[in-house]
Amino acid sequence: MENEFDSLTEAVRKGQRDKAKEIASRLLESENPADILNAILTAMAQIGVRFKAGEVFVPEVLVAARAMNSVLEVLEPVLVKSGLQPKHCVVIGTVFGDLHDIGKNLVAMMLRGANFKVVDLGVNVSADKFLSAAREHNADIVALSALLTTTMPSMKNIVDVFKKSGIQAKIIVGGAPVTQDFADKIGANGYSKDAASAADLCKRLVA
Amino acid sequence: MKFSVLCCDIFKDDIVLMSEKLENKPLQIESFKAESHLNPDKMRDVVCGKLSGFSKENDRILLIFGLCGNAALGLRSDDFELVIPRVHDCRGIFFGSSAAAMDFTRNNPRAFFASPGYISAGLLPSEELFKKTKSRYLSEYGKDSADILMEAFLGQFAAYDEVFYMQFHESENSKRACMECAKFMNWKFREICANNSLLSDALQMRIDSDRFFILPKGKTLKASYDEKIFNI
Ligand code: B12
Repeated sequence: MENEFDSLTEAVRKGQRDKAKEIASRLLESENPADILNAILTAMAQIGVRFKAGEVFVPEVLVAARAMNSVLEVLEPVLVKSGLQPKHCVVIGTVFGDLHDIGKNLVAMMLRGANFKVVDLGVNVSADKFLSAAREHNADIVALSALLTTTMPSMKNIVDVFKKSGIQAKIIVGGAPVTQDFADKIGANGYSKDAASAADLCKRLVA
Repeated sequence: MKFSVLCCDIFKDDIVLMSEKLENKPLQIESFKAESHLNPDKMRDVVCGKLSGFSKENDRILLIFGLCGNAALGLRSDDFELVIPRVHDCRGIFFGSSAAAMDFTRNNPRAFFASPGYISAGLLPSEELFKKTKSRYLSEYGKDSADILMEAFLGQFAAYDEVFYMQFHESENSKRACMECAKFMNWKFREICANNSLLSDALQMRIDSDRFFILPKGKTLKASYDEKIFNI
């Protein structure tokens, strides 16, 4: 079985959607879904490291993310059946003026993997849209992504709008140009540098 | 004032041409590959390496790039004053200011743009680039993965439906390449008058603190994340 987990990791890393789905379904017959989840998270972590090092480019990240998504489709019903229904909700989106969504999608997937209910508002999302979605879904956390330094200021605007609204949801920020320092400066409740640590951050914030 | 230029290679030809007409010419024009912008941390390393290679004869080094996804953060020099335009990225240099670039992007959200330097750096999508990419995927990942990788690669261009040619310096070949790209990608071809005042003023040492940030020796460059872009 050890090998099957490795093959799953490899299939996701190489973006082989169908193969990954097939291995995951087979594994599900006898293995713990949490271990399967782990195998795909490992793949994403590996691809993340190689992307940072400039060894692979965006298309490689994209196809791995899609393969991960298709495995999650198989896993989700099983996770829900096994009583692991999400208790907490995260509203996520890329801020106004910004169309980058690869990283945001990865964060959303990791959060789903970590058993959060995720409401994804997509890209180019205004403060108002974040606000009404947070109200509608009674969000515990609102996650903002920005990849452009030109759109980072709108994160501050969103934090301010939420503070004024009195909504209790915690706001976290991320995206390549965002730093902990910036998050502190604008009064966000959290920052993390990648998708895996974003899931840990959210768990800490709702604990 | 003795100075040299460190630029992204998409500006190299423009700078070489402009410098020919200058009385006070740069001692050296050094560039780095445009691809390094794909990884801002790597770009910072490349820039730092190049900075340490300039002759101590220089008083100033003109940096012709922008914050570029934080690539410029943390730059410093103990030997020269560094001058950097207050722009987020190359768009600000093409349009003469960051505000003008942002206006353009707001009004033309689906526009790809290209200058002669942009084109010679190989950043324009073309049949050749697609073929090269496909063969890299085939050799590294095999047929099945290559097909889906190619789909993802092409998907990156789906956000655009027109290409603007910016004549930063005259180049019939570049214009033709841009028109061919439009045809190949099924994009609308458009032309736009580039504003090279920021670049040309920088080279003539017409440096004012509204448009440029001057980093004193021994200080470290920081981002302000507001319209000023840089501070220390
Ligand atoms: C891919 C890409 C694109 C693609 C986007 C495709 C898509 N669907 O997203 C396309 C080609 C469309 C594109 C367009 C543009 N881009 Co672009 N792009 C990139 C690139 C190369 C990679 C981004 C990426 O996907 N990274 C991979 C993912 C996995 O990483 P990530 O996004 O950082 O996410 C991780 C973490 O940051 C974190 N995270 C992300 N979000 C969140 C949220 C929270 C809450 C948390 C906790 C964590 C978190 O977790 C993720 C996973 O680990 C970057 C360069 C770079 N290396 O960052 C430039 C870059 C961001 N782009 C840039 C530019 C300039 C543009 C354009 C303006 C270019 C143009 N002339 O058209 C347009 C802007 C369009 C717009 N209005 O948004 C610049 C930005 C410079 C600046 N001003 O800040 C960059 C930095 C390149 C550069 N140095 O010039 N781009």
